[in-house]
Amino acid sequence: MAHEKIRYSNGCSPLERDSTGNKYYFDSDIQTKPSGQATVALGSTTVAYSSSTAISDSATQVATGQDFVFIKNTGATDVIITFDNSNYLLTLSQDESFASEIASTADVRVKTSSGTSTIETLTGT
Amino acid sequence: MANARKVIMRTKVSLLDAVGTLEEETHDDYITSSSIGSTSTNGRWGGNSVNTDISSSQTGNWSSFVESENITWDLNAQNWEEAGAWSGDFGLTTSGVALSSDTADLKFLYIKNTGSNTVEISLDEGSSYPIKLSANASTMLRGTSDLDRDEVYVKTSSGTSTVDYILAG
Repeated sequence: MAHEKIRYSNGCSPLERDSTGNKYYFDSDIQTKPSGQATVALGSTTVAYSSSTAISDSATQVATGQDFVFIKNTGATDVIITFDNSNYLLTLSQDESFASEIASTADVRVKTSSGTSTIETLTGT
Repeated sequence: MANARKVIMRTKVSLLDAVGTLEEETHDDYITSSSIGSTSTNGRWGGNSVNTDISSSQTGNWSSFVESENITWDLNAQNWEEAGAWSGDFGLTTSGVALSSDTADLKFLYIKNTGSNTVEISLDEGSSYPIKLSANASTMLRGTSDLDRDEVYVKTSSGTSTVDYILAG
């Protein structure tokens, strides 16, 4: 898999409900749909993909020594994510994704607070 | 205060392969790779989700898209035409800085690097910076109850840069 790159984008639409009905409009503070896109040039071009990894309340290591990580919660139970194998600071609900470049020192692990779930992952370095 | 707020979140990831060399030309283009993943993913991943956790009421400088009070033209000691136009970007150096002083749980974070130097993001008040953003990259996340808004710090790897951000409680 030589000469590969990872292109990723994250964008959001902040919405605000009006005072009289149930319709949502663009948030009147933000007034835009921000997004960004970048391409990660992989150094040693090692890409790992898992379409379905079982997650429980015990930590599963997803990435260490990587430059990029993508995690999508494909199960029904929320999963939580740590970057230091200690403090779980991110949450992914069903169908929610996290994609970003990461420091090579990041030790990315995933677990549930209780119960089981599944995740899809892509890492690259 | 808004009646209610929510955020639609979209993530796209593509694995790209270099285009091979033709007889008369050398390309530096990339096309979507199908070398890994199932036929259905075809080298593309991601999806949409909706974050309904964020509060209808946001406090402090919750977004770089909102002009903060201290640069509102009629509250500023400077004449507005001398202060310069508000750009919406937040300037960074190699020194870590908190994006908010609010101690509420972080329910949604979006950050885009609008400069040219790599930006680093900390979720533990600057002790470590595990998330990186190259030029034009953005990321977004939803915090657990262990992550507060004032624990998000940002800095550059070197030099200066700017970011857009939304930091909602």
